[in-house]
Amino acid sequence: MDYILHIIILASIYTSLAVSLDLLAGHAGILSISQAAFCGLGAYTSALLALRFGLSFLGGVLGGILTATLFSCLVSLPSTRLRGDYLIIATFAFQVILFNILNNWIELTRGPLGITDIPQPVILGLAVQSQAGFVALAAAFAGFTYFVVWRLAKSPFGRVLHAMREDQVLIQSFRKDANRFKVTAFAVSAALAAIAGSLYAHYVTYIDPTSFTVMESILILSMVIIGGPGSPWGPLVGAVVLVTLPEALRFIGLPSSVAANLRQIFYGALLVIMMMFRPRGLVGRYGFGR
Amino acid sequence: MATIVQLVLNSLVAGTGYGLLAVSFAVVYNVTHFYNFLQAAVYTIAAYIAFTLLTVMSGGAPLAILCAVLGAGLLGGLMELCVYTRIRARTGSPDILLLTSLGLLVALQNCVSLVFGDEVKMLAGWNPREGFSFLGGRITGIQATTVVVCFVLYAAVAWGLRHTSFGKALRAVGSDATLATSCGVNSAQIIVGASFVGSALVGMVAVLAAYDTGLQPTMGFNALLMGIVGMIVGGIGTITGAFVGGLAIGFVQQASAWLLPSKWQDAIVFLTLMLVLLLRPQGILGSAVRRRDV
Amino acid sequence: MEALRCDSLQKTFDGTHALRGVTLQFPSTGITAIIGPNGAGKTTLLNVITGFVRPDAGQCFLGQHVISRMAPHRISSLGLARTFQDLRLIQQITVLENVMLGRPNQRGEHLFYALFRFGVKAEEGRNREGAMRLLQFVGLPGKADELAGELSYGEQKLLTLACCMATDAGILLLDEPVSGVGAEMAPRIMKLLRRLRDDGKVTIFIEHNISAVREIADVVIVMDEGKVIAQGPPEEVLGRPEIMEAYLA
Repeated sequence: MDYILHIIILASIYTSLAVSLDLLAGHAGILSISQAAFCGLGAYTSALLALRFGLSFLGGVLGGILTATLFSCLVSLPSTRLRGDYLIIATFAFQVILFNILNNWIELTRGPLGITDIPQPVILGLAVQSQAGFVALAAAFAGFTYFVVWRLAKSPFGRVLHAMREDQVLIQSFRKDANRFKVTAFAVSAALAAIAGSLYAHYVTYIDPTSFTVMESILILSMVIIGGPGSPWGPLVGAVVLVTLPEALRFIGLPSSVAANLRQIFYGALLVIMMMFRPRGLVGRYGFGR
Repeated sequence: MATIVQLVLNSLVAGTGYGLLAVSFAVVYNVTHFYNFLQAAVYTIAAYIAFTLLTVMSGGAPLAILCAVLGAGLLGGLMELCVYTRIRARTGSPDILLLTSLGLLVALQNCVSLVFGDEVKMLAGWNPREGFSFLGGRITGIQATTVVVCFVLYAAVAWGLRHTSFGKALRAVGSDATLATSCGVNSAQIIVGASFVGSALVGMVAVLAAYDTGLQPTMGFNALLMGIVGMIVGGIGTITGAFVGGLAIGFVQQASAWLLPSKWQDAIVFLTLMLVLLLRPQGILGSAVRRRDV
Repeated sequence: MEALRCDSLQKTFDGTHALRGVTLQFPSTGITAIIGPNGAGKTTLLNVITGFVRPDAGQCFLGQHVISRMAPHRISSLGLARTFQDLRLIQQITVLENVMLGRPNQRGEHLFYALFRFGVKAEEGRNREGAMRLLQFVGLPGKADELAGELSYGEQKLLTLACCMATDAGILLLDEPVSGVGAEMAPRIMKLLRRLRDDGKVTIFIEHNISAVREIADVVIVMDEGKVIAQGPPEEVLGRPEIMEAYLA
């Protein structure tokens, strides 16, 4: 039972990550390979603030949001002056560089040893300690992320994002500053990912850089794309499929390291197959790609 | 003075490697116009092919290297033929091709992890610490070989693009694929050929790097990033530009490692990329960016 | 309406001199047509004026504002709207949503209001009404909920016109509004342009269709090889032999 709850918690956290990336990749059409980096920023900021300054969970979350938003602007602002395909390379570079810094800045992050004994969250006096508590917290956050992204998608802001994903030139003739929308979408996406990171850190109580790698970012992007970018259920379906299906491998009795590799091979292959035969994703409606 | 020489030597070693990576990336990018992240997996697999062959048959270094390079080329060409060509027939979207390359990268790299495990391994047969003094600085045999090989291969590619019919066809397809097709060039074949060549070059750099610093499944990411950054900094569309770009970031990386703690060196390289693009958007040797928007 | 003018505009692309010193004072009323053979620089001129292309030299003015190096979204917020030669539309959203994109000053486009909808619903209602009125004006009221990509070419041209008008711009720059549409559609579009003139809008359009130009333009500007070679009323300009030669050369 504990195991099933654990899967639900993971699925919820990954759903939040996928939905947060969907705002950028699905609704705005900006592919980003850095969602795990922003998640990691949130996780590490939150953990360090809690351990070194005794900050509460909510304080750590806020710290994570601020850090992630700041760094997202560092990545997205220069793109306003640069060529169109720069942005995805910038996200890739940010992801690689952040991992290297997390891994090498031993004094701050303890590098590959990671950070242990992260305290469990106390929200408004309520300590979240049981699995069930975390399920509630993770699911609530997934719902919150979904609410934020979907509200934005349905608003005039979202309308501009949808226009931008098809044609960045046109909206500028309608008085819309494309760059402002890009930077804003980026910041919201990063902030939501950071909150997911904080949640993850305080749930597993131990984090190290290997949870926030390029592979993880590609995985989260895969969830969005395979599920169906820009659609209400897409990221959820993507996250649930990609988290639960490979867990079935465990029941066949494979050793966990083999299972870990096999599940990633599964993601990769599924992504390729979807791109070859159904780019709009499992439940998506938007015709992805020109 | 000795430290300057050492800096120059280190920059040459890093820079020629990145230069050839950038060139190999550019060869494919100039023809296909999308960022092919699969190259990270090609890089890794080439190194592991060499590892396998060197472990299995001791003392067959030249053969192992040749197989690794050819294997890399075949992998790149095969993926282009079986996967990308099909997708390109349906949609020209670079985003979809990029996502496909990510999927291939994940799948292939994890196959490597599965078979070989994640620990760092070394290539047998050549001591990475064995070296000699040169003008007051120190350089290892592997590093010196890297500089020479990368430079020679770059020169060969640059020459080939200009003077062979394959090279000319590559440039034709890269600048206007439909026009090239109407002139009788088989664009699809040329693209497969370019993928083969570019991937083989990636493989070469991978094997040299593996001799120098060992191999692990994630080795491809950094290489890919440097290749892309080198290509963009040097100027998209020009092979010499790509090589120069690689040299430039090699220098920046080594100089910053000299002045700052090494954990910042990738960040500095990326900062350089941003600066170059802000001050000179076409890159060092690129021609002015053609505004295709309107 | 503020006066639009250009001074010594130069632009070279990859060795082609698209604009070689274009100096123009656009009329501040009525319909102006820009004609000229292919490669004369007409679309480049439009792109420079609207900020999508930076001139190598020279300046553009809209009244007091120097617009030559402004970002396109700022220029459009000064009251300049345009269409594109390749008929840009957002294909995968509805016709109505396309027009609503054009509506200016939408508070719902800001993050805060998108999340906390104070007054956004009312504003959306007003914008929807305004958009429907525009669709009525161009003759597409029944297509409001269809995807823009499913309209015929001529209908899409009408839609781009509606989107342009949605911005409340006083000056409309249209790139080939009548080209490529069927014989029934062209007079419809021209009637719309006349109505726009009656409503006080300044329309400047690029066209290849000389009969359309003759019919509705108040002023004709002729360009050839990056320079303006004539400007004046159509009867006068189109009667000149050297103008027709420029087209046939």
